[in-house]
Formats: sequence, C-alpha cells, structure tokens
Amino acid sequence: MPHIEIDGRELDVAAGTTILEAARQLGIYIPVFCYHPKLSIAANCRMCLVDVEKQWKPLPACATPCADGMKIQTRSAKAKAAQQGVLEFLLINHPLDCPVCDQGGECPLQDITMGYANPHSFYQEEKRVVADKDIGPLIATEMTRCIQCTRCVRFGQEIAGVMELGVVGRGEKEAISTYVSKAVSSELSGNMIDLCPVGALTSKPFRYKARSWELKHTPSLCPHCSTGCNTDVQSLGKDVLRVLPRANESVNEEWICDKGRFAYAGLSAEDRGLTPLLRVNGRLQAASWGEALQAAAGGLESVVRKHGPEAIAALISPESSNEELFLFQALFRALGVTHIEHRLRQTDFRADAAMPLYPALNMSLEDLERERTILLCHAFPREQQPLTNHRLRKAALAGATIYAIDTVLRPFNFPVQGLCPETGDDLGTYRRLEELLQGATARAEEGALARLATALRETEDPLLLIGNDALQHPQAAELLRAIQGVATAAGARLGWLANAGNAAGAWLLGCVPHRRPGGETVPGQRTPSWSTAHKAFVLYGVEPEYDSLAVEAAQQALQEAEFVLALGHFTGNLPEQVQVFLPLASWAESAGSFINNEGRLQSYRAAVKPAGEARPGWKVLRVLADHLGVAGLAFNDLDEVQSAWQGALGDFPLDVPAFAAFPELAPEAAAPLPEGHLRLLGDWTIYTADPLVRRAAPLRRPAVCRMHPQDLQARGLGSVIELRRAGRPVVTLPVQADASVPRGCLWLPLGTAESVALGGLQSSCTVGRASSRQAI
Amino acid sequence: MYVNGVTLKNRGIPDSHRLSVYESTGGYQALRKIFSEQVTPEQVIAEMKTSALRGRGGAGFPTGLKWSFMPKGVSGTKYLLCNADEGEPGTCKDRDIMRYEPHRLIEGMIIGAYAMGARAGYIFIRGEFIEPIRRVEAALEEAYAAGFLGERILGQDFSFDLYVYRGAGAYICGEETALMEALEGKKGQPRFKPPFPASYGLYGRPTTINNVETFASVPDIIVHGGQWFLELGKANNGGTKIFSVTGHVQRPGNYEVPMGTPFPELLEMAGGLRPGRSLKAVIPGGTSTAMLAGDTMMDCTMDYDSIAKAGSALGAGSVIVIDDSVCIVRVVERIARFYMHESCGQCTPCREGMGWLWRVMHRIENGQGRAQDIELLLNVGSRIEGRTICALADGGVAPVVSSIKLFREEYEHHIRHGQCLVGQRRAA
Repeated sequence: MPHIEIDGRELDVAAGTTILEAARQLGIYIPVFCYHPKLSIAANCRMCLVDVEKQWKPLPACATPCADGMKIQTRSAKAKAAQQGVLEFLLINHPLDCPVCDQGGECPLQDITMGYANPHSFYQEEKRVVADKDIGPLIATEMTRCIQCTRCVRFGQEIAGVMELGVVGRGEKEAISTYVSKAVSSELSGNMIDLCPVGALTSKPFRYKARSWELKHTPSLCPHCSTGCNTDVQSLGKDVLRVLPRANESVNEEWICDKGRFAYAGLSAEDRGLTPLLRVNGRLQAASWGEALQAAAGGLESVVRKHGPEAIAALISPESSNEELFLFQALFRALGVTHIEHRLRQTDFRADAAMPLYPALNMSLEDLERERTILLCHAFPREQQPLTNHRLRKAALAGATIYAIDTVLRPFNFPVQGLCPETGDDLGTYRRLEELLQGATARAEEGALARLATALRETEDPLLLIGNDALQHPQAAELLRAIQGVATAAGARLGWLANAGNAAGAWLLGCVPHRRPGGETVPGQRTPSWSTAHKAFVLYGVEPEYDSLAVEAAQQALQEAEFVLALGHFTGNLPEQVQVFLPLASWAESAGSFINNEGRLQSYRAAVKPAGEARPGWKVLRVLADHLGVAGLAFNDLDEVQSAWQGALGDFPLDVPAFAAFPELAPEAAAPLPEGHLRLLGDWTIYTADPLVRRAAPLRRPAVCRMHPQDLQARGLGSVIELRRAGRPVVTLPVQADASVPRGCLWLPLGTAESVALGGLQSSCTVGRASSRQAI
Repeated sequence: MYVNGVTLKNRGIPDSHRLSVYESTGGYQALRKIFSEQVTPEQVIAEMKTSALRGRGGAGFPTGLKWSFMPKGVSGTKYLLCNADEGEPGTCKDRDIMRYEPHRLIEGMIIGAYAMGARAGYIFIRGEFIEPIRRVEAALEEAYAAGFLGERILGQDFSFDLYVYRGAGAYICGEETALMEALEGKKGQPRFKPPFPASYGLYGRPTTINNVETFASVPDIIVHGGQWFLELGKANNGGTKIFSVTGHVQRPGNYEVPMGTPFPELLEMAGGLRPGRSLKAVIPGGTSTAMLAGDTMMDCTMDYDSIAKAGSALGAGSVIVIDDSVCIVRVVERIARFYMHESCGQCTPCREGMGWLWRVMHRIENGQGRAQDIELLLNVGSRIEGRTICALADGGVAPVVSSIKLFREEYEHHIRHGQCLVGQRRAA
C-alpha cells in the first residue's frame, strides 16, 4: 500500500489509487473538468495539475497513480501556476457570455474560474467561434462555449453505448460533432447535459426558463418505469421546470433516461384536466368538485343497484402510488367490485394463479452487473427500463454473455446473442430449448438454440429475466410456463422485469382481480377487463385506447357501458362515454411512494401545487369513499394511508418465487392468417408508454411501422403504406425496412393515434402502397 | 571517415531494395546466425544493450533497455511496431532507408520480434511516402515468399507477421501512443502514460515501438556484435547515425556518420555554407528542438550528450542550417504555424496556446508587434511547457523561446520598426 503525502497530510492508499482519488479521501479539493468518476480518464483538460516532488512537470492528479513516498502539493506555487495557466487557456476562447448562458450558476468553469484563475488575461486576439449543431429536440448546443473535455463523447461510447458525438478536427479546430449532421437519439442522451461542465450542451426544453439558483429542489422519484430512478424535481412557482437525476448508487447511479428527464413537459399539456367535468347534453362541462363527486357516486350506485357491483370494472394505472393503489382497491372491494385491475397490456390471464406475489427482480440492481450468463425472455429493457438496461450493459462489458429470445429482435446497446423464432413460434422456441436442456439432440438448423442451451447448461446458476413482451404476448400463459420450464431445466434463477412504474405496488396492494393486498387469493371466475359484461368502468389514470392492448374490445365495451367515471390528469383522450371526470394531481404535485423492481420502497414529496383544481389521488379516493358511504377509509393525511397499506400488506419479501403452480392450460390453436394478411406485432415505444410521456412535446417522435425489407419489396411498397383492417379507418404510416422484423409481420408502434385507429394489436391487417403522403 | 556504413550501407548499389541484392551483401545473415547459433532472445537484448544503440526517432531512449521492458510469459499477442511516420520537419532519413534498404528494416523487426516474443507487427508509414510504401510492401512480399516472415520462419518454432499501415497525414501520429490510437482506427491523439506501451500498447496488448533507423541498425549489431557498434560511435552513444542536413548548405542530404562526429565535419560533408555567408544558427534535431547559435554549434559533436549539453536535443538528427540571410522571426513564425496546425487538440495548453503563440508571432512578423509581445511569448510558452500529455507542445515552444534567447534584437527590431533587421542589412 503506497504511503503518500498530500499538502502535508499523510495517507495510505490502495495500489492503483490516483492522486485525485487520494485527495478526495482526505477531503482535499482539486479542480477538474474532463475527469468524471463514471467515465474513463482522458487527462486532457489539465485542470487538475498538481506539484509532485521530484517531478519537473506538474502531473495530472486524475490520471497519475500514487507511488509510495510521493509528496504532493495541490496549492504550491508550481501547482497554482499550472492551474492558473490552464484556466487562462480555457478562457481565452471561451465566450464569457455567462449572463446569457443557461449554465450560469451551476457551471464548473465559472466556479473554478472564481476560485483558481488569475484575474488578468493578456489575450488580445480574436476569440474562436464554432458553428452550432442541431442535435435534436432535447439538447441545445452552443459549441463556442465548448472546452473540449470530451465528457459527452466518452459518455456516448462508454455509458450510452452508442457513439453519436465524436471529436472532429484537431488543434484549435477540434470540435465536438455528430460528424454527419444528425440528431442524438440515445435514450440516455440528456445525461450529457449534466456532464457538460460548461454551457455547450444545455437542456433545450429548459432553455431560458429560469436561472438555476431560482429553482426549488424537491427530492422525487421517476414514475415512468420499474427501475425507480431517484430524481430531483426543480420548480419555480407552480411550474416544474426540469427534472434531474439524484444520485443513488444502488438504483440509478447518477443517471436518468430521457423519458424520466423530459416527460415533465407533459404536465403543462393543453389537455391537462384542471377542473372536474360532467357530461351535460353530451358534452363535458366544468363542474364543481361537489357536483362531480355526487355524480360519480350516483352513477356507480345506480349501476350497483341495477346490475350488482360485479358489473363494475375498476381499472387503475400501474404508475399510481402505493397509497392510490391501496385506497383504490379498498374502496371498490368495499363496494363489492371484483374486477380491480391494472393490467391493460395483457390479454391472456390464464396463468393468473401461477403469477408471483409481485414481479420482483429477485436481486438488487447492483448485483445484476455481476451476472455471467443472462437470458432475456421477451424483454427489451433498453426502452422499458433504461437504467436497469444500463446494469445489463455493465454486466455485458464485464464479460457476461447475454442472450435474448423475442418475437422481434430489438436494437440493444450491448452485444446480445439474439434469437428470433419463426413467425408465431415463440412458444415452440422455449419448449424446444427446454427439450435441448433436457438432453434432446439438436437438429442441424437449431445451431443458435443449441449454443444457448449449452451456455445455459455450462453456466452455474444462469439468470432468466422475463420482460414486458412476455405478458403482452397473445399466448402469455403458455409462454410463461415454457419459460419456467426452461429455467427448471437449466437450473436457472428467474427474475421479472416489472413492466410499469409501480407494477410491483399494484400487485402487492391487490390491484388485480384475484389477489388482495399481500397476495391473499380471491376466489371466483374472471371476465376480461374490456368485456361487455361490465356495465360501468372506473378509469384511474388510464387512457383506454392508448394504454390497452385490446383497443377494439375496449372501444366496444365502453360503447355499451352505462356509466364511465374517469379520474386522471388529462382530458384529451377521454372516451366519449365518460360521464364524470375528476382531475388528479400528478406525481410531481403530490406525495406518495412506489415499490420498484427490486422491491425497494421509496417515497417522494410534492414539488409544486396541483394544477388548477386537481387534487392528490388519495384525497379524491377518500372523499369518493365518503360519497359512496364506504367506511374505514377516512384518512386525514398521507401518513395514515401509508400506515394503513403497510398494515394490510405486512412485510413483503425481496426474493419471491417467480411462479406458483400453473393451472391446466387448454391448448389454443392460433388461428391461421387470412391470405395476404400480415401478422401485427407491436409494442409501446419508450416515448409512448404512458399518458404523461405521450404529452411531452420534446419527446414526441413520428410513428413509424416496420416491415422486413423482403416483404416490402415483394409487395412493391414504398416508404409510406396504408394499413387496412375490416371495419376500421385506413391508416397511413411511414414504414421502415427492418430485417429484424420476422417475415410476414408488421411491427406497429402502440400508444399512438395510428395504432388506436387501427384498433390496436388485433391479429392481422393488409397493407398497400399509400396514394399520397398523408397522415390518417 | 566512416560514412553510410550501417543502415544506408547499400544505398549506392543498383536495386538495393531487392531481396537478392540485400542477401548478396550479407542480408538476413543476422537472422540466420540467430537460428544457427541458437542465440537466445535474452542474448539478443544483451547485445543491444552493449551496443548503446539509442532510439533514432528523437527521444534517444536506449533500445536494449526498451526491449527488456516487454513482459515475458504473458499469454496473448504481443505487438512490435515500427514508427515510419517521419513527420518532423527537416527529417528525411527513414524515407531513404525504406527506399533503399527496406529489407534491413524488415530483418531488424524480425529480430526484434524474436527477442521480445511479438507475434505481429505493423510498419506505420507516413501516407505521403508513396515510393517508400511501395518498396516496403514489395519487400514484405519477397520476405514472405522467402520464408523470413509468416508461420515457422526459416523452419524454426517462431512466427511473425508484418503489415504496412499508411498514415493519414497527421504529425502527431509520429508520437508513439497517438500512432497506436490511429492504428486502432481512432483519432490520432497521444495517450496518457502510464500505462506505458510495454504493458498497455496496441489494442491494450504489450507493445514495443521503434523508429525505422533503430530497427535498421539491428542486423549489423547481431552480425558484428554490440561492442563493434558501440565502438563505431562513442560511449553511451553507440554506432552511426543518419543526419538529414538541410537548409543553407550546398549539398543537402542524408549523411550517416559515427556518433560524436564534430559538427564542422558534417557541415563540410554537406558542402558547407554558400560562399560569402556565415553560420547564423542551427536547429540540430528537427523543428521541435531548440535552436542553437552557429558558434555554439561549431563546438559541438553530433551525439545525444553533446547537443543536450549545449541546450538542445539531437532529436531525429534533422540538422537545419540557417545562414545570415535569414530572418529568424520569419522562420519561427512559420514553425509556430506548423505546431498550431498539428496540435491534436486534446490538451488545453497546447490546443489554445499554440494558436496564441502563432498569432503573436504573426503579428510581430507583419510589423504589428507590441512592446510587451516578447514577454508575452515567453510567458505563454512557460505556461504550455511541461503541462501536456505529449511533447508536441514542448516542441512548439522550444523554437520560440530559444530564438528569443539567441536573437532578441531581431524581435525587438521587428516590433520597434515594424520591419525586418535582416532584410535591411541585406539592402544596405
């Protein structure tokens, strides 16, 4: 262990420790620009030069390993001269436009200049000007301010896994660029804004909105996926102005994805529900809370009277807080409602009895990095859980082999051995894999599958992760059972990638028809959510057409409903059958808690006041309970709700069996496709996944469907196609040739106006060349 | 006087670049000797140490010592690289070795690979060197055909593959780690050291890199022994060295002379100065080395130690002779522009400072200098020197600072009168 001395203080450090790390251990500050603990060491900014005894040159603290006996001075005349010199060089071509720069106030260059620079400069030449680049709707560039630290470039290569920014040119013409002009599209790109130590890369949606010191910081959580990233919601007055990551090494390290960072823009969408609404003469009109609550209670009561409480379907978004989820099910169970559900993206519920207590990763996110062999079963965490995906990427970079079986091969940002089954044979692939694991002889054409079987067999304790696509699969029950078969045959551990922000909470707190909080089974037969047997619907944070897999069924069921009550944040996509709308405070406007994929309970506070007359969900549910005459839910504050759900749930394990016993599954033959039809596949994209993110203008991307290039060619299709299904309007969409889509299929982005028009993922459609380039 | 005796031995012979000619003059005998006499890799390195051969690329690091740094017994590929990027202004020696003696380079590399256990090698040649590239590629083909390269060389349990890589025209790629970055397909810019190439080089593997002339010296050292080579030169400065003498001499060219040859002899070999001119200054090792006054230079011998003692460096042996017809400010302004243009841009002091130096030089040269400019140049230079990853910045500062030290009155005249002192003298 090298023994060193920094500024007269002695210290033993581990071999390989750099001077900078050692100094940080002692609490000695050394200024840096290019150094970042999560990135490789570039040692190019030279800001951290320190004076090392017996070295004529000052050495960069970030890159120099401590050697035994080293004596380091960080503030000697030599060190100071070096630091002043570097700062002057950095500043001669820096525009010094701090008053109009968004980085002002949170700018390392500004701060370090104040602390370390010589106030006089001798530079009298002209300053350099660098042309700006348009790199998309998220990151504003002012490249003249760039100090070429290359943090953004290294972030792209090392963390995001896609090299979208690079260094071009040399000497003083060196510049950060996309080389060929293009938008930066990585789902982690916003982190470059945080990493940029100057105002070269700033947030475009936040641009000129406020100075950083004016903002109120509220520790919060990201509600958009099951990773549960910790965030810092920054607001001014009643507006959330930006969301930044809050460091938590065990969850999101210090990153968040662009969905979590920019979705706040949707909070101020034009269709934000600001007042309760009542349908009068066929039109929704503003009403008082009193009137609306009364109408809501009255509507539900009348359906209960006429058809019994079983005729009500209570549907809640899995992005709701634990408090909302618990109260929601408590309220409707008290009314006698049996159909309480959060799973609108699933159509096959035959395996319900086998489902776990909650979709648990069954390990910590950090441990994911240390896995050696992982099989992703119908999972695409890169878009669905971006920061969980980052852990998988780290595992891959550390040498793990990662396999993926999915209906469509997805573009991962790390090496994945992908297996895309023959069209429609996802199930067969898992079953065959199980057979191979049990010793069956592989056929010649099964090379990839056989290699996977060998890898699983040869790895001690491999890991299988089940993703969203498995639950969304039309044969989800059989698929899950087949996955379990593979896991058993391979001696593998199973984990779930929970498919929504608080899916774990929704399961644990009983927002499924067959389980109460804590997992106690509710006996009885189930009808699908979107069944015409349901005469009333309660939609909590849910947009039926945009959030359901079975859009057509949803439309039909709503059509025949007698009463529809919607509670939510937005009014734009409300079905026309909604009679009462109650506006809810968003996650940023209320307090609550989520349970993430690991089973980690985390809570958040309200950052701003609710918009308009919107109210926190737990309060609305509590008052609705009063109106419905439901006793026992008269909570006075959030803490009481929290104690109530924690009391009902009790302690829950972090490690739960991935499956209970499967029920008998009657074989279902897939209906053959009509001649000339394409099978419809699809998924919610990262930026269409929930109502809030769909409304975030900076994240809006054009909907594009995808087909195999040979199918496109064989059908003589151009870049825009028409999609036709019987009884639906013709949908026009741009199409992208994508060899990862199986032949005979069409991949449709869900949660879009186009997918709604087409009726969601209903078995098949026909396609034709679009007559003109127009949207639907 | 022993001239052109080692690396350019065959330069005058027709078709000296062909294998047949090389073999007829004793080529590949060193390699055969190693195999026939069962010389061990350790013995090869010991011989190199005895020879006191020092790196001919400019830094003058003892070659035998460098070779001994390569780790032994590691699994995986080790690489041997040849730096043939020859970008230092004033240098043209490697070009001639590759044109006339490509096999000597190849044989040297094979011996190096044998000594260090390298499995693959690359010769990184400056992209503009079309003829040398063709000659080296042709020589590689001949060497492969004759069994000197590839699997089981000369039937022995030793394999080595060698490839040519064309540079794309950046001076910085002559810096060894920048060269490796470029070879890996990245932007050519130096890496921070440590780790050194011997532990983390090309593709992160143990790597040794030497200059063309260094490798070309190896075969004769093996054939005649390290002691023979050492005695050609002087202590700590073994062998002969090619000096590319350019500038105001009557016969510019490459002269391979023993280390320690007095500078006046070299100057005479190169035809001396033009009639009626006097020696004003000499840049002894390429533009990145400090300028020396003519008088100082006349007292020097051509070896690493003597030139270092005089305050400069032998560098790659590119001797630029400057006579009294030359305006030093103008020379340095041109050199400063070169370093501004060739800075890779990664380190702040070099990226920003090289341009600053040139802008001030440019101003002075164009009659718009300011009174404080000389101090400014020295001040900016002092804040660049020693604060960057590689030595390019130091090389860019050296000509400015050294010329101010030697010819301050020319700078002052430029600034005060807005015109050139030398030009006036010429007119007078």
